Amino acid sequence: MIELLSTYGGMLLRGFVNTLIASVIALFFSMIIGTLVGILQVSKNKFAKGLANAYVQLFLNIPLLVIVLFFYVVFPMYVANINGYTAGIIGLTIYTSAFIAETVRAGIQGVPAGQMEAGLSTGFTYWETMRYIILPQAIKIVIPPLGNQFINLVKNSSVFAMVAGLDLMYYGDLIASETFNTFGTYTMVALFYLVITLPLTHFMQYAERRLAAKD
Amino acid sequence: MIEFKNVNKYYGDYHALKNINLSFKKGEVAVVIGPSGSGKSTMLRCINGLEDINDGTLMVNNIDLHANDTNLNSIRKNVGMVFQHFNLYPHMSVIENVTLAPIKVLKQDPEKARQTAEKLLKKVNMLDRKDHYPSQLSGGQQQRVAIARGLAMNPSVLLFDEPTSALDPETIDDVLDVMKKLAREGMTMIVVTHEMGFAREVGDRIIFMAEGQVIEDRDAVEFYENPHDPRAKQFLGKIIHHA
Ligand SMILES: Nc1ncnc2c1ncn2[C@@H]1O[C@H](COP(=O)(O)OP(=O)(O)OP(=O)(O)O)[C@@H](O)[C@H]1O
Ligand SMILES: [Mg+2]
Repeated sequence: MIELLSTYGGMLLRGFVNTLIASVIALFFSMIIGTLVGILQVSKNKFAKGLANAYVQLFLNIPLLVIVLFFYVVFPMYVANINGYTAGIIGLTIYTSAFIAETVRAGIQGVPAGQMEAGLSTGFTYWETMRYIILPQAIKIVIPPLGNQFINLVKNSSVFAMVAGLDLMYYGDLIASETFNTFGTYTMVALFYLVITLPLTHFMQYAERRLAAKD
Repeated sequence: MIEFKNVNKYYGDYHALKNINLSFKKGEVAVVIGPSGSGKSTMLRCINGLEDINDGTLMVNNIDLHANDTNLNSIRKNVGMVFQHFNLYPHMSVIENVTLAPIKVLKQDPEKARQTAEKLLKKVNMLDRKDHYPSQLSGGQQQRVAIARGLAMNPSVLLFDEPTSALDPETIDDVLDVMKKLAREGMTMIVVTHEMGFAREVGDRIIFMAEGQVIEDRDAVEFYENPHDPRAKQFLGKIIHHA
């Protein structure tokens, strides 16, 4: 194990940093897209609603690997050349955003209908009611399942390895095939994933407690 | 100030309001009664545009609610509503519940909105709980805050949809007392309730609805003492028996 680290530690660290950066970027954009799509899913505009539902149904039901391969193989043939890392981030963002949209939709629908009526009857518009009354309550409902989505996102980033994505898993595979020390290598890889996911889990639990403390 | 002319309302195929003709004057306290499913809530919710009517005309403060260019928000600023289940905002304190719309909708200065809110909370006897959250209050207390929230927009009419029917018996009177006080101060109120004591004491008229129609619309005491329609008679007998 020590020997493995002294020779391949730099590689593993590079993979770890790449996975971390990819996760942060994908998390950021999938939150934005997912929240918007989730809000559109409950909107009264039939067209927007239909589009949002189609987006969610499509990406919820396709394997992540297929989406990533699409961007790695098909996208460069017609649009622009992108590397495995970028293809991975785009695929992961789109895939995760569909799950986040579902979570956000369920959160909004979890707020009692009377809240929207109360907001409207005091002269707020639909969107103002969303902003001041519905979304602040939906956040509390959404935080625990959202935490699960974040954890899944980090773990799912391991498919980057299939498209030469330079992530933790990719370097892990590389090292394992060079050294034949599969046990040691994959143990190290697993530990590195835990370095990201465990603090994330704790942070989400903390956020949940903080929000629950009010009211 | 509010006028229904031949108003019809459907939920899909279901004919919920049948040819409603009603008018409400400024300063009037109208009590609406009738069996479950008779369309009381639907009628009330049409007044602030929570439900759309299918035909006829409904004028509120001289604005045609059904017209395409009508901005429902501007009407709702003038029509307050108190719900059976209060619908206070659980993530906000009492004072925040009352000041939210005046600050965000009417663009009032927050300090001025707070002062008005405190005056209103005092009126409903809830000033000492202004920093509490709704979950820390009893139903009757929450409903009084909801009344203050409605009043904070300084509406020209306040609609009540069974404001006491979700309350424990011992807190009902606190809410009714507040409503009676408002009625005596000249507030225009349309109240769906089966509290006959309230109706007789401050109600100007009683509107009895059944099966989506207005069956009787008469002076409160007269109606109470001598309902004409057999359905009204039977219904009155039932609710008095229960009280
Ligand atoms: N959103 C809706 N969709 C379909 N039907 C509805 C809807 N709201 C009400 N209805 C139906 O319209 C009729 C009138 O309902 P409404 O709520 O106005 O009655 P109500 O007199 O207020 O009764 P209650 O005393 O039970 O509150 C009922 O038969 C009800 O089932
Ligand atoms: Mg009702």
